[in-house]
Amino acid sequence: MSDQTSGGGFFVTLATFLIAITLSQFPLNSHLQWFRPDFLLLVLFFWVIWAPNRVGLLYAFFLGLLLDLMRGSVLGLGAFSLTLVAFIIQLLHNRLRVFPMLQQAFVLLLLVGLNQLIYYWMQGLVGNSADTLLFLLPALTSAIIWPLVFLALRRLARSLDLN
Amino acid sequence: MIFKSGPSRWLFTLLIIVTLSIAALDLSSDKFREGKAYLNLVATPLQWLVDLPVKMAGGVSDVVVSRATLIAENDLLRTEAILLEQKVLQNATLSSENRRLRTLLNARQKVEEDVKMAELIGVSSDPFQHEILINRGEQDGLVIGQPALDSGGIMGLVVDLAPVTSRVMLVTDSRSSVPVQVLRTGFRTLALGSGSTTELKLDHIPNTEDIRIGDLLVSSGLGGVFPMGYPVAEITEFRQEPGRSFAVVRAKPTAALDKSRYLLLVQKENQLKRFESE
Repeated sequence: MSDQTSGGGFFVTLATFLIAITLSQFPLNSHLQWFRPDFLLLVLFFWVIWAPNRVGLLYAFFLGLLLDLMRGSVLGLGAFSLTLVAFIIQLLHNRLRVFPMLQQAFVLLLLVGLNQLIYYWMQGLVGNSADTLLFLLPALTSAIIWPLVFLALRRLARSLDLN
Repeated sequence: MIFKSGPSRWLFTLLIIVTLSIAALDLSSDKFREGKAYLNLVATPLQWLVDLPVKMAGGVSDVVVSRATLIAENDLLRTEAILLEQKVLQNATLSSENRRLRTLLNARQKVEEDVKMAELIGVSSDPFQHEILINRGEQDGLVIGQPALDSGGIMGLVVDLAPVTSRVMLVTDSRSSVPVQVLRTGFRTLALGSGSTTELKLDHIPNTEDIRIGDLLVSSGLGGVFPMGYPVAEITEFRQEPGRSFAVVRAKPTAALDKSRYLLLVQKENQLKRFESE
């Protein structure tokens, strides 16, 4: 592959991630907030499956740090859970790639749930304890919108010929 | 085969160790947190971006507002201004009288407070973390622990600084507690954040305590973080439970925590000096 396409790929990927982070921080009404899908993980899930040789643990790490800065949590917590989840996606990569969309959505449900559990468990260690399990709702909504995100990002990736 | 030998376990282990050490540093080291304030600059442009649609919506509604609405609003503001001016007049006499009485009593002079205005630019996306982001930071002379108010009363305090933004923890956050006083009786206690956006709780209040629904809680100034005498909350529930030794007391914050877009940051005289000498 030529240098140019991989450079372009980097910027497009970065742009999708930045949009995802922006969406994840966009102010929502306090009831709707519980349902907000984990946009960053959705996009990361797509890119790790689609371009595994380019997007991987380092992306997860730096995006996690950026997310921590954005939401003001303890620096490193988001990076920790995101790196862990990205590693799991990499381990399952060969299977995920051939899964039908619904099955991918199911795996995503588990991964987002895991991500939320780790994050809130660690927040609990810091003293900000969660008193309901409602924080698992994003797992469900993320899985529901996965087909949409997948089709949109696949179209983007194909039209720009990204790998 | 995409990976030559599966995903990189080395990199994974390394990154996990790095993230955990960063988290440990962030929790334990003050020096690290000072550096983090500058790291926060990376996030600032994105935070502005997140706020942009809200700002633009506000801008549009400013442009399309009708002449009649403006005139009506203008009238309303003018009457309000007159009322407030009248109150200020009274206030001046009262405060000079208060000063004289205080000198008679040999009491310490009240600390003059300097106030800064800030605008809200973001809200925490984590439902368990009641924090807002404002457009003032270290460069505007803010310090960690500085109280923030709106026109209704105390909103919270600054918990995290960046050069041009900072994060304010609201009084309803489950980590927050404000030393308060019941205005009617002078009874001192703590108003604790309950984690719900509209409620504060008061723990360990004896069943026999004289508290009524509608009582105003004002900051007591104890603890030295929040200035004295600002409204904090209004009692909404006082339930005596016969089997228990303490009553269930709930209060509603008087500040419009989820509505105010502009807030005031109070700077005490000594805080100001401490900052200048640094």
